[in-house]
Amino acid sequence: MSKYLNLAYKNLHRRKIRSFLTIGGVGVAVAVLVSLLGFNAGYRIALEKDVSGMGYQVLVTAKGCPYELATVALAGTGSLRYLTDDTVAKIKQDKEVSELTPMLMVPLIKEDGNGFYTFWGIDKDSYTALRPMVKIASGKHKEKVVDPSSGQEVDKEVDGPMGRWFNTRQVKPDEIYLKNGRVVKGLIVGTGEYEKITGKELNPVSGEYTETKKAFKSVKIMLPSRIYTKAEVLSVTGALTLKAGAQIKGEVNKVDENNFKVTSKDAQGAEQANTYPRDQVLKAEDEVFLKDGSKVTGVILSQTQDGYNVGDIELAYPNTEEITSDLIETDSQGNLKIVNNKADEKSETEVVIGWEAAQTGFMQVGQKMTLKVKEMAKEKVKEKVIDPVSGQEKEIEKEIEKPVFNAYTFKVVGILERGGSKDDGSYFVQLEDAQRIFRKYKMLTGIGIKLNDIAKLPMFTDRIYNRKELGETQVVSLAEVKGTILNLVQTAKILVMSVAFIAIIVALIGVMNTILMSVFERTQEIGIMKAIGASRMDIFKLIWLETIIICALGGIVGTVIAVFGGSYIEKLIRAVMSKAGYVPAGQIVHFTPQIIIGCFFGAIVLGVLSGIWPAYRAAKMRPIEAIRSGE
Amino acid sequence: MGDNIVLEAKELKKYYTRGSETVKALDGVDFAISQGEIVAIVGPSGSGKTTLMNLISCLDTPTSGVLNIGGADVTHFKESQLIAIRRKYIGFIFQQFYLIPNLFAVENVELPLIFAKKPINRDKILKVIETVGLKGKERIPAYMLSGGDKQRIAIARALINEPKLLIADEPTGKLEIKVRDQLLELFRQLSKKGISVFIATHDLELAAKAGRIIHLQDGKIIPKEQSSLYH
Repeated sequence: MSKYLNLAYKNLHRRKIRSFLTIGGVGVAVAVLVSLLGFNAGYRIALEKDVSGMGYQVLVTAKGCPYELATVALAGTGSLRYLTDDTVAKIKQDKEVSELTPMLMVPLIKEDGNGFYTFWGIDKDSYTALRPMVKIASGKHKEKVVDPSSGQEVDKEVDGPMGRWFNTRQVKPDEIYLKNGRVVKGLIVGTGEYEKITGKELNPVSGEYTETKKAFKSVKIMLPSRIYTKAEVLSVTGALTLKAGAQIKGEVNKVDENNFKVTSKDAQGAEQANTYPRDQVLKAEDEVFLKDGSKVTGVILSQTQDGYNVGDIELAYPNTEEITSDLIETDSQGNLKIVNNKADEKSETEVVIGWEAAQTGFMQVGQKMTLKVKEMAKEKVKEKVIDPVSGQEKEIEKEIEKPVFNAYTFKVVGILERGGSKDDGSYFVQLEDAQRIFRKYKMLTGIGIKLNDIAKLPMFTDRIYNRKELGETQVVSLAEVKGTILNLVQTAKILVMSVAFIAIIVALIGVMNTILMSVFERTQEIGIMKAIGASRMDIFKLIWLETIIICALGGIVGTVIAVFGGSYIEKLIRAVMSKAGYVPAGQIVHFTPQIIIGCFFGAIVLGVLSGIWPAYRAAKMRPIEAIRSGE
Repeated sequence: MGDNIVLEAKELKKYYTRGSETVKALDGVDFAISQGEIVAIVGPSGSGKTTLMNLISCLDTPTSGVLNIGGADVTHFKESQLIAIRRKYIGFIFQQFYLIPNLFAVENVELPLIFAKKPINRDKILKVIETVGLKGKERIPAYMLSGGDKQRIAIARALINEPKLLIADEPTGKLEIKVRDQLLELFRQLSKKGISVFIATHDLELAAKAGRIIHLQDGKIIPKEQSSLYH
């Protein structure tokens, strides 16, 4: 056999270029196959790791497309829907809940539009309790410290934990005092000034109208609010709660600096009004009675054709409201009375970053970190159009969305231990900081839950769905999430596998063609070999062996390309997939010995198959004709 | 058939059909070759020389007649049996040498052993190469050899299986006269060792040096006087 091998090898060697090209062709096909299988295996492993690394078994999210939202939440991309943070307390009441942690995930589009910075607003204590694998790294490292003598930032060698978790701090909502005595709590996201035409007066002499304009200041506030449609609402009333405990219902108004008046109607419809001194009043609220029997309390921000927009109440969705100065109380200096509780501007938001995020950003503990991001912002623009009726030019106001480049600055207080999961590339900030700086007031993207008994998941899910006061939520178990992602990948895999299949067919035809060509070229030689004693079988074996050698070498070349080019393939897949959907952290192209051996033998099978026909053709040649063919 | 008869042909015929017409390439040929005999077969192109060569080297089968090689009638042998005869009794030399160019001289010589599934005996191969006078050139790739040396290697290749009959198709056609004479001398030596040599040639000078000449014309053996080669 070794003699046949030698013969076959020398035959291939004689046609070096052609043999190399064919081996290359087979190599590419095998490389594609190995990479795809490696990706398939790796993706599964990485996903498994990502999901099991979650620490919680169940995720409660706002209702969206089933699973897909969870997929997005895992992925850190796409459009998100939000829960309000009061949901946490409500879910905690469920007897099956062992531990839970609220999370706000904020994907920030990088300035260049290429990928995301994934921020997680977390409640440190409950988060680390549920996910003990997320911990501060330790070891020799450099930290940025301020040198007391020079006041300059310098590097300091440290051996030990890489920083710490952030200091939990309470962030109070901003408060705006309304003239009717109520206080609106929310997050101030902007202030403005504008002029409004308030009236027109006819000048009897000139016959022209004089417009009266008034300047307003306005405060834009983000607050949890929800519109209740008129169909839902039974009645609306105000309520004044006294410090003594009594609640007086009716329309609440402020008489002067020190007195509130509550106007109500008694059973006979007669109006009653009572005045209460300010120092006796605890809070002023509105009450909205719904037809389903429930009641919501809060502040009626506005009344529209559709219904009532009720703010700062339990069942709420964040909303932005603009409050004009004529509604806002002023202090003795005539300034709008607003309590702005924004965290001290001078102290930076503390961030704890994942290992990979630290590596790629060259981040050290103690360092300031500025991330430049692209955000979509709504902007009002004026546009001149020709009025079709009058034919005159007029200005209309339009709202457009346009990208705004923004920068966020943080102080790195800790670096996390490498976990090989999605966390490695993430940024963690305190939940309230995240809600404030990313303007997701009172919003959450998900609540991670650990159940006492995972087997009771179906009952738990049912209970959550039956609790109307939780609003539109959905419960997703991470096992389901994994299944969904794998299904998505499966679909893509079928497509990719068909491409690989085509590559293999092309390689097969290529190999067959090469060998057939060389058989025809060597017709005489084959005839001679027969004349000097070679049987059909000998010739068949020889040619077959040549094909198998080509494919085996191609197999080796392909495997080597795939294994050594794996990191590039990984980068490529990552680049393509990050645009399309979810990419788990960690290695997503993973070569197991089974894959490598399997593909190598696959290549040999390819050789065995593609060699049959040329070998048969060669064996079938009649020696005399073969010898004569060249004469 | 006597003990020293290596090959015997009786009424050997080979007809081809070319379109509607039947070509009688060989039309009843009788002859025998004894052990150690050098026989030259001459005749003009189309006389049936090559057909006869193909038949006696078991590369083709006759239409009718009897062909005895080594005491067996091979006329109706199957392919596999013909291969066995070829391996055992026949060595073949071609005008174009037909060595495998990128194999070493020695590797070309051992090819028949490989196909015959015989053990590769180094000493035997070297001895055969020595016999053809190419000692020391074993490790030269075939394509680098001179024409004469190529033919010597071809002869060594033909001899390696210890055939009884060496069939040479125009063995000197592409060689210089000096080399031709050397080859002829080699054939004589072989015949002394009991190997019969059967040479098909146009070359009357070469034929004249053979022990016996068979004249072939129009598929038949004819007396020398009737051969068109001499006119």
